[in-house]
Amino acid sequence: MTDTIKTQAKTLTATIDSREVLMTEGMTILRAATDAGIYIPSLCHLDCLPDYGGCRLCMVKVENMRGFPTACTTPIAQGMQISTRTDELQQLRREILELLLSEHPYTCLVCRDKKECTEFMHSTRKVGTITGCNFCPNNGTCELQHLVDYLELSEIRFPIVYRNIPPVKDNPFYELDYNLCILCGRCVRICNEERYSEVLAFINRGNAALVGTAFDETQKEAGCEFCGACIDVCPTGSLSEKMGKWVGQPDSSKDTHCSFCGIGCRMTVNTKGKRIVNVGPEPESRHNPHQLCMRGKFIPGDMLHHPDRVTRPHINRQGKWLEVSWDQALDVIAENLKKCSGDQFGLIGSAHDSIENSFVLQKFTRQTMRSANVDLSPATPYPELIRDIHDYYASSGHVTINDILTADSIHVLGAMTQWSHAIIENRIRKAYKAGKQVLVAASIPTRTVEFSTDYQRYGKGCEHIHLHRLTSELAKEKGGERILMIVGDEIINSDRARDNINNLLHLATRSNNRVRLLFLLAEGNRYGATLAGMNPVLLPGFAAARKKGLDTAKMLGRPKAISAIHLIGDLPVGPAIKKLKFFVQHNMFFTPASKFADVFLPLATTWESGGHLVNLEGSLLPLSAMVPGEDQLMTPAGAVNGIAMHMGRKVLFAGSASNPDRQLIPLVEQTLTRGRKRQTGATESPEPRSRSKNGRLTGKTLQKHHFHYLGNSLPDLVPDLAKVLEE
Amino acid sequence: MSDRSQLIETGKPFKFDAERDAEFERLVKRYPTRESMILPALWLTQEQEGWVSAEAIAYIADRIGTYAAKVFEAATFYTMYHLKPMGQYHICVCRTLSCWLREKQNIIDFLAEEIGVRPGEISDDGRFSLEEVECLGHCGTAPVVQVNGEFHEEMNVEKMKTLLAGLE
Amino acid sequence: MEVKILSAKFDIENSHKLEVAKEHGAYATLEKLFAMEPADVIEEVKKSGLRGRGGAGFPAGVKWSFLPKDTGKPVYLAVNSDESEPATFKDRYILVRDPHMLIEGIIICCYAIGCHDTYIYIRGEYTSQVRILQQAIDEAYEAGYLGDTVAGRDFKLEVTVHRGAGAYVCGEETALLESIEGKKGQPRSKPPFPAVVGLYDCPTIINNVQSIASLPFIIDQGAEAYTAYGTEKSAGTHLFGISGHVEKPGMYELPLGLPVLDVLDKVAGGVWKGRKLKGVIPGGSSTPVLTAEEAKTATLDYESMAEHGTMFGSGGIVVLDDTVDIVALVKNLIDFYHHESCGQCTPCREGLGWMLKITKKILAGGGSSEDIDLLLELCDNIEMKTVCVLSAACTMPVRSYLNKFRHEFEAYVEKGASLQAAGIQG
Repeated sequence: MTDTIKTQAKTLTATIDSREVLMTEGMTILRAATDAGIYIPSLCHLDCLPDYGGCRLCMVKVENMRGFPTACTTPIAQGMQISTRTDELQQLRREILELLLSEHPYTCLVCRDKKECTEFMHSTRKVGTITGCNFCPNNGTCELQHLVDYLELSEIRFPIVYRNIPPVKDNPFYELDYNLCILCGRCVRICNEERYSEVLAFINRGNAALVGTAFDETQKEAGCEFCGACIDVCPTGSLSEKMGKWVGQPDSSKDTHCSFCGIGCRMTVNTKGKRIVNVGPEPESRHNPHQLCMRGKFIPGDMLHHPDRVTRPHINRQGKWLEVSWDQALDVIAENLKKCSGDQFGLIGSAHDSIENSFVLQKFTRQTMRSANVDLSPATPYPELIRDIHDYYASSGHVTINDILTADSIHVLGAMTQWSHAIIENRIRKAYKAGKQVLVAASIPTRTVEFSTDYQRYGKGCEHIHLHRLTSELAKEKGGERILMIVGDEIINSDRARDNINNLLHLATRSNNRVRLLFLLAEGNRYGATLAGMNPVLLPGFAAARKKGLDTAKMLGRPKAISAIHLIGDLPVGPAIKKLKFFVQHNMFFTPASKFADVFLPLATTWESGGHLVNLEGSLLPLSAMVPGEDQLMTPAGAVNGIAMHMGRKVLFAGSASNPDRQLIPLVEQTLTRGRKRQTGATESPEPRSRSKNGRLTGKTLQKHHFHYLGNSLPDLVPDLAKVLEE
Repeated sequence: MSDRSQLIETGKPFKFDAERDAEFERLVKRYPTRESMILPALWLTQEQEGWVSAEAIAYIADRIGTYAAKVFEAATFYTMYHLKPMGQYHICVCRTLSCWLREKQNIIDFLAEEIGVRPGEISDDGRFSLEEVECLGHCGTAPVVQVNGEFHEEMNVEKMKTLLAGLE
Repeated sequence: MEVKILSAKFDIENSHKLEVAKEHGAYATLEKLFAMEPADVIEEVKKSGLRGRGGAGFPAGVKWSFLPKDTGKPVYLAVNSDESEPATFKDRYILVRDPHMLIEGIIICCYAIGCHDTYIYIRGEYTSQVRILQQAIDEAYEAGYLGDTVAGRDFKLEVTVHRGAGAYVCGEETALLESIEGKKGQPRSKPPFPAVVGLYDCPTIINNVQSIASLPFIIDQGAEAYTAYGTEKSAGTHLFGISGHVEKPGMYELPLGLPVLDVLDKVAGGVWKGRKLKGVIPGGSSTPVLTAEEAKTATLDYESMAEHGTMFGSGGIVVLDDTVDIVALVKNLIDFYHHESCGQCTPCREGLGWMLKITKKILAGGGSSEDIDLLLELCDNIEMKTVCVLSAACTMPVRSYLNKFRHEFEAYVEKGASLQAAGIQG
């Protein structure tokens, strides 16, 4: 809302609390005060939302203005003299807060023993209803608590009224307790006017008003996308995450980037000890949280702290798992791998893994094992795909997610952004609401269609026909509007991916950048992992490998193609896996594939170890270690380094697995910034491969691509997610 | 105040009849945005069915091209939309200032005794429903009663008796 | 005392029909109107001193001149026929008995402000009234007074009736606009004012039915003919609605400035049942009450009412006889505003709830003297601290009852019953 283009906005001078401040015309008093570092309390205002003026806490006194205008809605004017903190105003605010709290369980807020209680009593939350702060999931981050302190409210003259609304606990991921709601309308506004999920509404009016859904349905029935934005903006404990509810108040918080999909959203993770408490808002302030989606917001804790997480190395003894020490496990692996060096060996990594791990894994394969068989799972339809995209970005200038908002028209091709890339979906919806042309084409209609000016449905597997028609039409246009094409799964992961992408790249080049392309990569680090060399034909920095290896499909395509596989994460079980002489799985959980593994290693994920990733825009983003993880977990890089040592080969890196090579990050940066022009697709054109027997995109593939982490199925791990995804 | 957060499903699909359909199309041209049709469409629905069902809300949202929560919000904000079927005769008695001063309570008490319904209730046989409403703008001829939308002014128990007797 | 300017055709049979209305002069001013420049029309209305008849009393001509020029956006007129203020029922007479006067007024206003789309927002409870109004509009379209060429001139005007559905707050001008836009009726923060950013974000004028209906007379007879009635600052006539404890309640057109008690006695037949006067609510339920003593010196105009610490309001006069239980009346009033609060602002949503609870407690005999003070304090905390004036419409009168009839509240606190029931002489 604040980044609307201001053309030649005038500068004004006004006085706030006797301080002269320079302002831009059109700013509200609240904005101006905040910019000048002056705090004005507010419960309903959020920078990212249209103003509401309902809570009335931001009332200020303006010379020569009648009454008490609200700072959030009153535009600043030249020469205004504003007072924000007079005794009269503070008293007024106390009275308003008193009224707000008269329907909110507040006992603890104004209790005489508050201080001692906070210091010496543990939070006890296992009660059905919330009766005071100590029982509230929002304790510590509650904006009401903060305001009670700020306004030094010590007494509430009204008796407690408990609304006695049963808390709703049967939603996936979050709980609702409208007994705590203060009707600030933030959730309603963010749901409708920022996320366009259009689920929440005010029901009834006046004193009887409540937040709810149409038809009084459950959130899921009402079409909730579980983005969690409503929880992030709620100033009270009315809306709270189930995850971490019993963990207690966070003692630390770290910023990182989400690695589930290719967008790489910035996120704040609040932790307590080894546990993630919640994800999203910064604990000090819930203002303008980095907006996330269901996966980023709710999955990390459920996944990392899953009770089935395997935390010790295991050896398979005639079908029984035997817990062993790392040394024992590494000995067994080293002994077996010595027999399978060279082309006999293959390593399959994950596009969710960090650049650092990817680099070491490929180095292990190429240097220690002298094999070129290294790839990611699932593999791209043809190995050079990421390099082709990279070359395009390098020559055309990077395309960013926010370009969706500046393009004149947007084509969404074969994508299911609502679930696969929710933040991109959000930008598409915003562009549509701003009156931009949004043209959607896909084989399956998704909710994006509601936010499109045109929808074309093509038959399953006929995306290339549509693409061909579209590109030839657009190629005829001379000049005109700036087009952004958002290229989704059905194009990228098609059997005809190479043709499709060449087709698009050709159009983009010929249009002189009038047509720009944004490729939706499914996993957090598909770009970065490939750039780090996790590819059978490309070395780190996208250099062509002299020796070409087998890609994942070929490694698994024919039994006995290779005899040993080291796998990070999980894979669907195929005949090749069953026929392997030796199989190491390094994963978070035992999966069906583990049945055929000889050794199982417990994995430290990037959430626990950190690193870097390159998102789908081609930006290098840091990942922080959020929680320490259990003692026996190890990163993929650490594990293969151990294997190399146990084999008596050269170490892959000395020192920390998080910085295995001083040259690595500079190499990635150089590649991303400079790029090199390359010829695409002219020299070699291997046979198109089928990804699977019936190889087309279905709802199932969507799930496979977007709801897995390191190959592990997230719906299998998180029942709430399965609930959301079920038809 | 009755709980208006519940909508009732009829189990049958809803659509405008030909007359309402034509009226909807006539009116929609009068507004620059389709959302403006939310109140008129709810009225058309209530005229047609006597009340507004869950299916009707969904139909209206669809017809207008907006989302259901937005229609629902309006349907619960404005008190004249009935979210459940009312009696065959829906009786509204004004409860505010001038009607109160001129003894509207006598009429309420009489109705409670005579037809056995209190404000907010529907009689067991479904013939009558009674609602106490805010000022109906007939203060000069208070107390005032509305039966199925028709006004009856300067009411008293005697006249109420005659009025009830005149209903089928 | 009565005059017949706005109400000239009210007693004529079938005056709502175009044929009859035309016989009695409807649409006769249009000839004169289209010969004038729009700016001259605005000037004439300013000169007439016509003040908004909805309750706030803002000069109509001045309001029109707030419209920004040449925005490239359409200008809208919204006619406020929500008439929901308790004790107010005057606009209904215009809608039913002379709708063509309203339509003629709309044409005059739209010509003056350059508007081609008008919405008449009529309260949902007015069922038969909306039918009559719509018939009149249909007739006006057929006769060419509305549509692409108004009265054969190159002037386009569409008039659409938009029905409310039971929400007092929609009489507030910005809530009314929200309601036309299909939203719940939550008032908007001002600024921006509707004249600049109004309906569909376009410049918009909102005027009350009676204000608009006064225009044909002003244009036909001239501003001076209008100012011949009333007082210097309160020009013209008004449709007064008299209700409550009088012998002859009803709607009477009177010039402004008449003494309150004269009107009660000579026009409305005096307090009913031979009882004594306890108080007078001068202009709708939201105006502070006048005691019988205060009423002696008050006249029915904006200045006198302000001098007496109350407001002219909508001209809805309510007479209270000496049997009225003021505490019960206050509960009845708070109940109304509490029911009609939209729920947006904390002070109104929560505060009115508490005022109701406390008043009920006092009525039930469980109140204390502190409760009476808490009520007064709540009035201060709520009033003028919300987006719109709905809450003030409750607190202003309630404060007046608390101050002027505090002994009645104290009787409940002390005796657990009303002054009357406790047998104490007031």
